[in-house]
Amino acid sequence: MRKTSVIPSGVTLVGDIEGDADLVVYGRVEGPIHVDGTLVIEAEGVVRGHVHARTVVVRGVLKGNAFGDEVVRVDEGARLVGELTAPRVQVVPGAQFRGQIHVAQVGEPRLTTYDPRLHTFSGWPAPDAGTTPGTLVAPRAPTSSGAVVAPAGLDAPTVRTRVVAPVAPVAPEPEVTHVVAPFAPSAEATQIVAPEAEVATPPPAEPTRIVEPSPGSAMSPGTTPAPPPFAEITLSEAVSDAIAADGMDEDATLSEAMTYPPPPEKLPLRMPRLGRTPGSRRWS
Amino acid sequence: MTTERAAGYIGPGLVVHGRLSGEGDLIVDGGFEGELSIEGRVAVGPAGRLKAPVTARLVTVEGRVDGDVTAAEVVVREGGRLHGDVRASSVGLEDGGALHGTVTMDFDLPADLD
Repeated sequence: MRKTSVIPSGVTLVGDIEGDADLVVYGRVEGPIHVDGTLVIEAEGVVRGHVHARTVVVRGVLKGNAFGDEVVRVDEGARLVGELTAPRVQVVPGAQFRGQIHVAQVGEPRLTTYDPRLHTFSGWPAPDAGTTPGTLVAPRAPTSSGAVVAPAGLDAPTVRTRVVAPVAPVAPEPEVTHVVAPFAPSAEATQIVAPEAEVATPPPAEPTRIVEPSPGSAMSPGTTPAPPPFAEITLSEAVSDAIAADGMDEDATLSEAMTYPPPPEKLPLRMPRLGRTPGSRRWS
Repeated sequence: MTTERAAGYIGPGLVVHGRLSGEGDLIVDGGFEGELSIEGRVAVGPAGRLKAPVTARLVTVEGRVDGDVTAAEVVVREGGRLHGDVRASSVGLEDGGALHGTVTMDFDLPADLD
């Protein structure tokens, strides 16, 4: 099963995210995201920067360009300023969007040539770096401090972190409420569960900061899910100090951030038809 | 629902050049070239071709539209192609539809992102 990475709510990431994994953003990301999988910006998620994934689903706020190797989908409730580029682009009425849309013609070869420097697919005009909304120059993190390192052999993304800090210095919500579904690459019959759902607490014996990948662990439905392996997160000293100064428990914050959700329930990813009924074919 | 009345209809095989304005609905299964400004709904059928700036309340595209579109609502259906800039308060783009242009919509991002 693919491992879904999560940026939980209450967490801001300044930096860039790159890797071969699915990613769900409930929190805030300032910087570009490039994952070879499904990227979902959930309703409370905020991303400022270009995003590139095989499938991009936006339900929250995105200021930046979205590039999909297969699909870019803008769901209801999304607020998006930027460009959408993909062979298939879906925009649900009710979504708020400003910017250009580039859709490949049906029957055209898939657009897979991607220039990460220009954040554009070949054949499409490059966004003007100076004026395109959402254009960001991502701060490059120093390699020595703050890093999320994927264990060898995992396809977890490499996240170079400059600052990981809670958005608000107030006490964090005690319970973890993020439920994230792993996305199937086919974008069919994949699901996302609303974050209100309950989350099983991790086993108490589990280390709070590092969870070792359990080799061959299978999250078989119906059984207690073993938390998927994920990367170690190291806070820079400055952030640790800041958290300490705020009187927060760093380990508690981290374990909250690293708690993995239970297996998802089934929700279709496919966009519903836009209200077409036999009697209202033209006008609906 | 709205009071239905006979919609204007440009059938297949018919090509209309010029400026069309007024009230009511228009269905385009043929061709139209010029300028289209009506207070009603415009539907471009799968075989329809519209080459004009369009102003209407609702624009539904199943065929091909070349021109800027200003409407309260714009829907591009599967197989529909819209080349032009869109100004609308609601834009729908179905899977299999294509929109090439800039979408303008009035809304606010969170203040710290502007």
